[in-house]
Amino acid sequence: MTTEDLYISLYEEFSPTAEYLQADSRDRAFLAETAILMGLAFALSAFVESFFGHLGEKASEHLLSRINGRLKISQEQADRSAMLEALELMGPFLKYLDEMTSGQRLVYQSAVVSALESRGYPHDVAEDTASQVIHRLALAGAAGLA
Amino acid sequence: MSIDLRATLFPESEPQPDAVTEGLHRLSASVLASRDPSIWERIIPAYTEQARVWVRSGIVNGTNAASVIFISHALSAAHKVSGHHGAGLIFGFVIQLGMSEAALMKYQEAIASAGGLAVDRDETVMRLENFPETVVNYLLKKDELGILAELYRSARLSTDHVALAAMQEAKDFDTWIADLAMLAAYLAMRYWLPLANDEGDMPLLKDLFAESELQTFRRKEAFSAECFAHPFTSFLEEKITPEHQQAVAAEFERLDRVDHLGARQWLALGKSRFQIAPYIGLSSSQAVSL
Repeated sequence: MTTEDLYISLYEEFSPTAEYLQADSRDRAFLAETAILMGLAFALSAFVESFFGHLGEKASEHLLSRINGRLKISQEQADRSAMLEALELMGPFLKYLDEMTSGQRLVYQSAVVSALESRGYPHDVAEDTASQVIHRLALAGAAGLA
Repeated sequence: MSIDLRATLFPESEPQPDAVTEGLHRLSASVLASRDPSIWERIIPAYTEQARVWVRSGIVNGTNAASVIFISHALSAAHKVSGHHGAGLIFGFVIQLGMSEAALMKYQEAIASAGGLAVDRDETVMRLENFPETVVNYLLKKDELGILAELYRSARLSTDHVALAAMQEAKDFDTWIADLAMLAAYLAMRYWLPLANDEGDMPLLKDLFAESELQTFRRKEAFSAECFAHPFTSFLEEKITPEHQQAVAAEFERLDRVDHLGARQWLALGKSRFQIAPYIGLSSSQAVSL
């Protein structure tokens, strides 16, 4: 699997319910494509913070800082290339996610759920979306990113 | 019978189709003939499936489509909250929907002759378009607020699944239209279960639900509004046609040759906005081993 395959699979899971990103806004408008990408980057940031926090020394501070930096750019500027770079950097570590039990994955899922709920998602939709995001990342871990 | 998507997206009153009157009459007869309180566990799923068939085959459109779905949620909610008694309350109204004008007149005359009451010949039989409002008003009048609260939950929380199905599942154009008709019926149904009126939030709802649940309703209402706006726009722009979708498929193939990632993102975005049918580019997506 390529990083682009992983990215598009995440985008395909995220975009159908992305309208929730403006659910709490009184001035809802046509949801821009860039807003979807920024929302996805926000969800991935929540995952990264939780997942890499648990990985401990397996991932260096320097690497984590690089991943967060790319995701921050992606969140602020809807930069797809930055997100692809972040996914590429995350790639070697996703095998650990695949090897984890569903109970362990639930911890990271909860972090994404909380993040999405803070952005207008109802709990059930946040859970479904987060579950799919984690599932896609684990599949990428199982397949290995080329 | 084919689906009239215009009539579904612009809900207007239409006569209750005879097929529905006959179907509800048969349903009423089987319930009335049964003395088994557990019959609802079979009847409600069977009716729900029947309602889906009516909507998906275009037998009912517009307000009628929303109403046949509403009946299903009203029966389920009442049964969940008050069991046999609750389902019976709602079913009293369903029986009327299964009556023809002539049958109602005959029934009223029988009642009148038995009780010596005058027959009100101006009284008309209830039809699908009046059912939801009648039921909501009845539940309010009888203080059946538990059933009303469950009806709000059941109807309003299920729209997401119908919307996602319309975005993602169809493997051909006819199925996509049927999925959109279901979505339109669910979206129209929420007008009978409002969250706010001209003066703001419905005061009653603050008594029925905790603030966190109301927040969920408001968020889902926002999503529902967008799920209406997108297909509505696509329909007006004549994007929901086999010809347009064929052109979209050709455009995807062209883009895919130039920019594979961009083309796949364009496809996913279009599907999430009901501009592109779920089956477009499917073979390409399936080729990705995810």
